[in-house]
Amino acid sequence: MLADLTDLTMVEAARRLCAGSLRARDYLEAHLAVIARHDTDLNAFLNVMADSARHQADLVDARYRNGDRIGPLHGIPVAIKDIIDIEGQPTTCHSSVSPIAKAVHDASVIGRLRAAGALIIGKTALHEFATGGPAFDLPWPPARNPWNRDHHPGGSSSGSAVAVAARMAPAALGTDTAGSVRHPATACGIVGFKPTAATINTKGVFPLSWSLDHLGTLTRSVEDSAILFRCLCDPGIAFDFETNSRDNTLRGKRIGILGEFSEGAMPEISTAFATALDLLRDLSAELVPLTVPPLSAYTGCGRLILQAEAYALHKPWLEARAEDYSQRGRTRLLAGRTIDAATYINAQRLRRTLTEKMQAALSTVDAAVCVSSLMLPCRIDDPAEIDRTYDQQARTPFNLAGLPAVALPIGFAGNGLPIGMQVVGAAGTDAKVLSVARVYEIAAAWPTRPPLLDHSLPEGNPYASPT
Amino acid sequence: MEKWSLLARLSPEDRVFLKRNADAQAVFVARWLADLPATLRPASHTDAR
Repeated sequence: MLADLTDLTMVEAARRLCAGSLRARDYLEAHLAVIARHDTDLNAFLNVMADSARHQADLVDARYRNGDRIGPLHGIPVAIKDIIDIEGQPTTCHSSVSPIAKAVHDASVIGRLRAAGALIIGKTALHEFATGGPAFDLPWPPARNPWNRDHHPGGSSSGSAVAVAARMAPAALGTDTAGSVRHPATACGIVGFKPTAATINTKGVFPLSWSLDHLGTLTRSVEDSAILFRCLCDPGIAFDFETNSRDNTLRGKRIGILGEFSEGAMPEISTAFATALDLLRDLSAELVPLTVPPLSAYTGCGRLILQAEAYALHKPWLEARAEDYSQRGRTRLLAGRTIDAATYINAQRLRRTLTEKMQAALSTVDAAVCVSSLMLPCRIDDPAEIDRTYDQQARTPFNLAGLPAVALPIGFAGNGLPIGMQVVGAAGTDAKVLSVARVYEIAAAWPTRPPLLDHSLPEGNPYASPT
Repeated sequence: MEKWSLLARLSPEDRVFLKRNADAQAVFVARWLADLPATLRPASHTDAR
C-alpha cells in the first residue's frame, strides 16, 4: 500500500489529496519509509527533515478537515538540493566549507513551495558547490544511481534526481548552471526542467556562476514539472500549459532537430534518439533540421564563463582553506584562476552572439530536440572515466542562451541505464516546450521505476534493451 | 603565479587536471575569441567602427 503511494505522480497524488481520499501524513510516511529502506544504499539525502515534514503534514491535514485546501501542492513532499536555504537549517553545499551554518530565511522558492502547500521533506546531496562531479573525500558520500549503484547518477543535483527516481519524493528542486538538473534527470531516467532564465527568483540559493545559474525541477512526469514550475515562477510570467496541452498529437507542430549537437554520441544514445524522432514523426510533427553554431562553441564559452565566475566567488576560501574542499571540487574551482578580464569579457560577447543565433533558429519552430548526454553514466569509482565522459553533453547551450530545456527519458541502454533527450525552445516558450515533451512522454510511456526498488524481482534489469 | 601559497599545496592529480583544463581553455580562446569568426560577430561589433 505505502509503496503504491510512492508510485503516484505528483499530479495523481495531488488529485487524491485534494479529493480527500489521501491524507498528507500517509503520503509523507510512504516516502519516509522508502527513504529509510533505500537511502543507506543511495545517499540521496544529506538531511531528512522527518519531524518538521510530519508537523507540516499534520497541519495540512488539519486545514483540509476545516475545508481549507492550501494550494496546488497541498500535501506534496518536495526534496530540496542542499544549496537552497531553508530557515533554521544549514546550507552545506555538500562541502566542509559549509558556507551557511544556519539559514536565517527561507529561499524565495521555499516560501513559494510552502505557500502552495508543499511539505519540505529534506535536503539532498549534490556535487560540491554544484560543480565537479562525485567526490569521496567529503564528510558525506556521493549519491548513487538507482538504476545501477555502481554508476554515477549525474549531477550536480544528483541527490534530488535520485530521490525522485527512487520514490523518496515525488518532486525535487535543483539548480542548473551547465545542465545540473537535466544531467541527473537523464542519468536517473526522470524529467528535469530548466526554464527560461530569470523566471524563478534565485534569492537564497548559493550561487555558482551568477550569469548562468538557473533553478529547475525534477519530477517523474512532464505535467508534474509544469505544475511545479507554475508554483515557483515569478508573478507575471506567462505560462499557459493547459492551452498548449489540449492535443495528444503534434499535428501542425514544427519540431527542429539540432542534429549537430548529437554528433559524437554513443551508438546506443544515437539509436534511441533516432527512434524518438520516428515517434515524433508518427505523432504528426513536421521535423525541421536546424543549423546553429557548433556545440563546442557553446560548451567552451559556457565553461570559461562558469569557471571565471565561480573562481571569483570562491577565491577567498580557496586561499584560506583549500583543504576543506574535495580534490575534485578544488581543482574545478581553481580552473578559473588564470582567466583574465579581457578573455572573460570576450567570452560574454561571444555568448551574446551565440544566444542570438540560437534564439533566431528556435524562433522558426515550435520547439526543437537534441540528445541530453552524449555518454552513458560511467562507474562512480572511475575518476578517469568520469573526467573523460562527464562533460560530453548538449545541455550547456541552453544555460548560455537562457532558453527553456526539459530532459526526459527516451529508452534504456543494454546495461539498463536510462537514456534521455532534450526538448528546447525560444525564450519564454516554456509551456510550448513542456507540452511537446508531454505528448512524446505519453506516447512513449517509458517506465521510470528502477528495479532496485523491487526486491522481489530477479537480478538484472527488466527494462534493459537486448544487447 | 607560484608565489601563491595554494599552488604549492596542490597534488599531482590537481596539477594534471589544471594543465589539461588550461590547454582546453587555450584551444577555445584561439578558436573562438582571439579572432571571432565573421559569422559570429555581433552586429554592434562592426556597427561601432
